[in-house]
Amino acid sequence: METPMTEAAVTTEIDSRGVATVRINRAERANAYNGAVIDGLYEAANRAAAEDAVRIVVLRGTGKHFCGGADLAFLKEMGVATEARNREFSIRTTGAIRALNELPKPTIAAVSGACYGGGMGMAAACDIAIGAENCAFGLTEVRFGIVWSPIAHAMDAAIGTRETRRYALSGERFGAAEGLRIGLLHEVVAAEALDSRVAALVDTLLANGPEAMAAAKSLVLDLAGLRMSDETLAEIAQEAAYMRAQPEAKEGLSAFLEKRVPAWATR
Amino acid sequence: MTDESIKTTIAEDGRATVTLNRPEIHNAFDDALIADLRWVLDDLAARDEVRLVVLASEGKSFSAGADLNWIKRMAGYSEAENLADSMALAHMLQRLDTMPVPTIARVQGAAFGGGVGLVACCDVAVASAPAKFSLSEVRLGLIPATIGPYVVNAIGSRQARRYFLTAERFDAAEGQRIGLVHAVCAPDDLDATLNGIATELLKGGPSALRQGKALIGRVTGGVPDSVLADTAERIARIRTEPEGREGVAAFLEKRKPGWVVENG
Repeated sequence: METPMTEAAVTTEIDSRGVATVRINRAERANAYNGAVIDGLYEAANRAAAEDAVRIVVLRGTGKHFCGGADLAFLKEMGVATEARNREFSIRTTGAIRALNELPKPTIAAVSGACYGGGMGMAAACDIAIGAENCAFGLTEVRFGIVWSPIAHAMDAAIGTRETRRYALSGERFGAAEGLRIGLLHEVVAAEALDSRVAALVDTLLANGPEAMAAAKSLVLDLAGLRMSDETLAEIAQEAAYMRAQPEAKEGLSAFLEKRVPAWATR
Repeated sequence: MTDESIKTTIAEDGRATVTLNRPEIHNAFDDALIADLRWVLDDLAARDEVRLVVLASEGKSFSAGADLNWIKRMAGYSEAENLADSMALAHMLQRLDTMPVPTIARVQGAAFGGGVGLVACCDVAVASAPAKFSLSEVRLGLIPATIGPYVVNAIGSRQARRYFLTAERFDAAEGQRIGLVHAVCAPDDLDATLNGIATELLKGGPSALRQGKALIGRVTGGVPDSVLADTAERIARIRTEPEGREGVAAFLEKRKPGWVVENG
């Protein structure tokens, strides 16, 4: 790896019990994801899946926030990059969410602070999501003229079509209580209790047969049709990449970066 | 009309009540009870005078899932023998899920493993507030396979991913929140609450209720036979694998299974 471990965008620690803690490590940017975070997440998910020593995965952010969504400056750059490079990024993003969603071991998202867009997708792709009271959610993509395709399947499975139709279109922000009500979160705890609640759940999972948990997860994924084919992945990635290269996305992302309202916003 | 392990009554208003009657073993079920319950439900499904089925049980617990002695016997089974037993359970659950008339589960106490499956197969579930639930299979190195389709249909994949994997116990209020049970009440109010819902159901046209239920099955797709076979194969396989055998052996010997690591 070219990036030294100390600066890795995603870090993984594995303890003696087989608990892998995967951290998105861009605290200075509210853990917004760029290409390095996506690649790191993909590698971390595949490593956790492949290593026999890993029994449980906990996903969290470094610092106050879980993941503030996409790094919009990075997205804008992708939108004007070559078609191939732009598409490749969407394929990797969709692939990272799929790898997390289908990881054959129990996964827990420990969510605090900002959890927007793709960050919501990461929480939705985990088996269990525990949120601190200070969580802030929103499928904010539409505000920037982009689409949320890579996380759509995981989101629909987590919160159901009824809520997805609302939040994916409105881009409204909402808090932990609403996150619990619609099923994105399984539990809400005080911010200072987040670590201890996640630790208790980890202990609970450690009492269960590791192969049985893998088989139980596989059962749910198959019964609910939650696995994504390569063909679907390619279609989804193509859609996200296409939209990002359109004038509307350029305007939306530029407006955000220039701290102005986009041209389509009417009062 | 049946042996003592299941009591069945049909009231004049068309309300049939099927009561599991093995309170001394918490209404756990084995191959014989599964066969009996299948027979009883087949019989009720064929009777025009039946307008509603209540599934209840005697004693403290609703159903503790698989019976200990049955688990012991199955531990020595081949994969083929396990498959035959699992298919029998799968067909009984399918029979309950597709009863042509409305079904109500009366959950007065604990429902574990397969007991949760029985609840999920009923159209309406009423629970006493102290009732506890758990999809406890992974504690024994097993999976909630044959009940899986019905539980996922009831609580959705989001909650199934948690409770299939954690085997946590949860109470009736959480059961209601996640959609497993429809109504929760104080223990003394259980029959009144159930009667209230039954009374509403009996106001519906008998034919309309049957057709309305069939429509729900058609819209939701139900549980296809291929899924039944697949889930039965999954549990038969896992029972004969080392982890499944270790989990069941540890349970029967009242010791911790080999996969449990002690903290720090």
